[in-house]
Amino acid sequence: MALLQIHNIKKSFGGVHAIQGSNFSVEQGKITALIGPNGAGKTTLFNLITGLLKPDSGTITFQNKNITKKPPHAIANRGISRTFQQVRLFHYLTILDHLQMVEDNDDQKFCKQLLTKTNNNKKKHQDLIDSFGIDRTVDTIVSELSYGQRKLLNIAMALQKQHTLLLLDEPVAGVNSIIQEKIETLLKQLKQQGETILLIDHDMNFIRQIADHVIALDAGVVIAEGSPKDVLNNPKVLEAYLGE
Amino acid sequence: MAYIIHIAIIIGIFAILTVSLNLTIGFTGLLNLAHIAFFGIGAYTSAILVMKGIPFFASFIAAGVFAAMFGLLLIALTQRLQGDYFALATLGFAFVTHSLLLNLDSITRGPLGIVVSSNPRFFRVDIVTNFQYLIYVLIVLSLVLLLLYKIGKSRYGKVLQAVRDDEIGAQALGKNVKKIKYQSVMLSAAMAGIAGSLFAHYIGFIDPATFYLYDLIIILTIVIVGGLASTKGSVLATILLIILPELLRFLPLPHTAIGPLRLITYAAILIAVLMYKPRGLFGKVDFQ
Repeated sequence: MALLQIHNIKKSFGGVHAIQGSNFSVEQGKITALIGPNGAGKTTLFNLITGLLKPDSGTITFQNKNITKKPPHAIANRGISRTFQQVRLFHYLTILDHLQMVEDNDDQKFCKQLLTKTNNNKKKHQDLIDSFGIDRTVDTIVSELSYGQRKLLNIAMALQKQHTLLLLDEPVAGVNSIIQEKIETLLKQLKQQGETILLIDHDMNFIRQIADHVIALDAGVVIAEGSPKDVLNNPKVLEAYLGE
Repeated sequence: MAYIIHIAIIIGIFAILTVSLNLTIGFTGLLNLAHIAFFGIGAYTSAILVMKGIPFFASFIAAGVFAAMFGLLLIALTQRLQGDYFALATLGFAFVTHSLLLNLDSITRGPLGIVVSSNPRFFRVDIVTNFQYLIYVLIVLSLVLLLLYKIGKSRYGKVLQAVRDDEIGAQALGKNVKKIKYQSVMLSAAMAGIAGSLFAHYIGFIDPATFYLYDLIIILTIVIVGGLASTKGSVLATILLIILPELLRFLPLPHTAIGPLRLITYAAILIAVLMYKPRGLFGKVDFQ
């Protein structure tokens, strides 16, 4: 069953056609990988799905509901959780603050928050970051974390937020080999748990291992789609990556 | 003693003004230069209502509500702007408000200003002396500080800070950034409005010149010196920056020199703080 459907989406920035009428779907319980050379429009597609950009035309449906014109927070609250290629955390807040923020949206209720005492539940959150291999206390300010630790925290937050679909934008980009291994092991566990994931990655060997379905994008157009084996051996895909 | 009470009242009123400005600048990351306009709107609302026979306390509350409505208008007009553009637009809002106060003669009496003759009454107690007024100001200040303390410690306060640090990141977590900004600016404007009411009824005379660039520079300096996202810093910087220029009065200087010297004092303190303590006295975030 298709959880997410992209139908004839187009997006231009001035004269640059970033996405040119793409169509694809993401099946529930599967890992779908979105590949393509730099500038192919992968992150633009993520931003269109999550409402950070509005398409010029076309529709995006999630759980059979049109989310094309919904604001980003509404899309997130419908169950699309994401990470960013460049980690977006809140510079002066602690790990605990970040994890509490993804628990629910009660934190936006002004009166309720002023009248009730905050339950920190530090132990639970400390256990969580320990399980992700972030070797720091929850009171650590995120700007003190290494890039890899921030990347792990970002993934932990995306997973902790109530979601049906997880969008991961280059989860292992820019991290050292130890953290890369941690993230890849985590993704394999998520695959076994039946998570629905749309993933952008450049590591073809890893994609071969983890993805159920691969979509190759070049210059804003879907050039190939199918099983990892078929797509990664497709001449059009090889040409897009390596040139003629 | 009367002089000390006077200074304490001014400190109390300006503390409300600066801590509320810090809510938008320090906690939410919105460089709102229209704050001085909300101060003026509160002062005029309260003064005009009292002159029309509305009880003091009702006009005091109305000052906050009316200023909050203008806060709503400001954020509605500027919701698509960010950073420097937002700051410039809010400065424009302050200019427009000043111009309206100056030109709506039939309501504001224009440049002639309004003499505010009222008998403040608070829960059946007549506020007659300045000392009583100081107590009243301190009660209001305490309530404002308590509210800001609760906000700072709450998860709501963390969302405000998340919006300040990364709007897109906050949206991706399902936070309604637009709503948060509306709430922050409106709450901050309401506090500035009640500070304006306290000011109008204490000084007894208001005119548009009181709510313009000079006072905007003072309150911005105080917030920067005290440090962003630090309510404690704003209160201490208010005390410091109100008292220090007052000391000039006791120096053997010509009367005409005191005004410019006040501004020079503010500038010197601001430059010193930015050079040696860029986050201000108790600041928790960088000034960007």
